Amino acid sequence: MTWLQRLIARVAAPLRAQPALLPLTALALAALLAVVVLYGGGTSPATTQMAAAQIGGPFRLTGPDGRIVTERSFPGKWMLVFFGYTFCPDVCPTTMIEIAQALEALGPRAAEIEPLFITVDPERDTPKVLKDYTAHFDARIIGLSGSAEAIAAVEKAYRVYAAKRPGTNGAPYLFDHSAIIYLMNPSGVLAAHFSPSGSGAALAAGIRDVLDGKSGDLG
Amino acid sequence: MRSLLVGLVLVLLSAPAALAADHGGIAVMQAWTRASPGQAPNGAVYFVIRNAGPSADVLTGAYCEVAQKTELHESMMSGAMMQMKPLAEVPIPAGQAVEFKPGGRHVMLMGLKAPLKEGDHFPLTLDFKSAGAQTVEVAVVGVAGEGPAAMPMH
Repeated sequence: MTWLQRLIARVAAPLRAQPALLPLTALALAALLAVVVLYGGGTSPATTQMAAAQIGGPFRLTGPDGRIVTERSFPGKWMLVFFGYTFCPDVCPTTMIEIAQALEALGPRAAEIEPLFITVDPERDTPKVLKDYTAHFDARIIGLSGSAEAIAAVEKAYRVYAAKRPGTNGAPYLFDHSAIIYLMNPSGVLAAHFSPSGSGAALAAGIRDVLDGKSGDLG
Repeated sequence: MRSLLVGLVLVLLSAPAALAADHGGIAVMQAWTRASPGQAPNGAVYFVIRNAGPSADVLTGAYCEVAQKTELHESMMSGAMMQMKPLAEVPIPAGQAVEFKPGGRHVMLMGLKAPLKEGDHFPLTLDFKSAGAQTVEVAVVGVAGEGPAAMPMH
């Protein structure tokens, strides 16, 4: 909810200068609160139906060993989708650890899940590089690469923003990228999304709630 | 031979570093990094800097021989976006501890000369405006390690 705090801070700043604006601002804040409550912005990890309709869809990527992987490759399973790249030294490995811990914590129920790590850097992350990378966290995580076009298409489908940032003084390029973990139901519809929290146990609990139908608002 | 040289350099470096720590009040503790997942060419080092002295200091840079390039970085989540930006310097206020940890500030090792292996150690030199160069030993924990004292996952 940091964006909300930032918004409140921004609204509050001119208010100190002009107290006459107070009633108007209170009204605006009440309206904002109503929007947040109505659209479930305050609840986590469930997402809105509107967003669910927009996120996900067909993709055609290259899996380990060069095999083509699509959204239909895992019938009956929930896809747990995360985007990243192997040159990412901090947040991506930390999130991979979180996902690996969650799979461990889910025990036998992890069999209902197909965890996918989709690279935003297909130029350097070949299927072989990705296979080697994911195996170090949990062999169940499938690394997916593809042509620049295929990756751009899946980024678009998942509303993932990834921008290449050139390195300084000859350093390799890096990416700014969305770091959201998506849970898609067996029909390929977004059931929930999670922000990396560093806690595999919390992620497992969130996933279990969705699998049990206790959370997620797509019922 | 190489590790012997490294050890020798370390001994030479650590003596003045220890003196500086006494005078400047800066101590770098619990330096750790994760083993490389496969051929991943970059890494991140984490640690705690404690400033027990009466005056503020500033971390201005880092050097590490295991990588082509070493930079101070900060990962930041802004909304759903993960951004990593280089830091020119990091203030270390008097009487405080500044933490470099996963998902936040870290020393980025860019272009590792060889994958980092669990159980290995290597020296990292941090440059401070007042306290000067401080060299610490970085412990390599498992790929899924979560801290200097964390047990390996397997």
